[in-house]
Amino acid sequence: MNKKAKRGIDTSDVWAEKLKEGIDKIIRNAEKSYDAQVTVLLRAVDSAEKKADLKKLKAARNIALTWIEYFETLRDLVKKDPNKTGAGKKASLDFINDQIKFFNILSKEIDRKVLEGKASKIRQSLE
Amino acid sequence: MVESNNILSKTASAYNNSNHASSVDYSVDPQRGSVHYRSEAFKQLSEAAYGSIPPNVKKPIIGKAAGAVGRAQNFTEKHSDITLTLTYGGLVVPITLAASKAMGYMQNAGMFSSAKEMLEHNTLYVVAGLGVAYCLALGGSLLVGEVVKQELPGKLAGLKEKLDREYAALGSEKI
Repeated sequence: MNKKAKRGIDTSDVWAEKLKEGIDKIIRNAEKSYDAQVTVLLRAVDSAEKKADLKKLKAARNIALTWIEYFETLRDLVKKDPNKTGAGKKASLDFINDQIKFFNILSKEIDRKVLEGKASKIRQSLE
Repeated sequence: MVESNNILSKTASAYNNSNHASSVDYSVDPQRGSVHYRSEAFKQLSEAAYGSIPPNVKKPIIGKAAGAVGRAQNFTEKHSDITLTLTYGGLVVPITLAASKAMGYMQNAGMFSSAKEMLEHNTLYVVAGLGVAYCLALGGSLLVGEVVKQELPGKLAGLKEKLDREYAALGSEKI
């Protein structure tokens, strides 16, 4: 019998708590990292739009398209894994599909703004 | 506030009006006037990871964990070329699934005899699972990214590098 067991401590519960804390921390770290990456992108979009910086808008659009590609690749990996079933797999695929949808909409809105900007410049040059 | 007809507000409006599983939340920092992004979907992932652990299985799993983490530590030391990073949030998906997988391994307690085989087929899930167990061996001091490293599947690794370059080209401020 180990020392903790002798003291009447349920080591199973201690491990369970540590494991739960660990998973929680991993998810929080990843969440923080991902949200920060997307926030950087959205701030850049906002800033570029206010300054009518078409070059920066295009750079932001490229990042959105790469995120789409990234999540599509990840989705293929998750789908192909026969060991992944149930709620975890569904939540993962829902999350991935949501992100793809979001970046699709964002990239199209940026495209629209870039085209408007180009048209505006052409109009100005003709006036 | 974010203007109603700009790119971000139009994106948020279109996204939130579409048939999606969660919402994207925008907020404005009052001091810096900056935009923040937060995906509520992460909560679902977290809940799915916890929800995958049947209550009646939890204690037997954990009871065997002490021996298993010792084996995990040995296994990890033998595979020091394995790399794990949490640089991109997209990784939360396999890592979350890996946590469930780690639970399954612990349930069987013989998880690390089969981990090598799993490693050959799917590095991402297994190594993250090892990371969880390995961190347990360190007394619950859990910063997996600092302990074990993970290899991304080839195409994902390439896309991650591409994103790094594109973010650098964007020249935006760090958060």
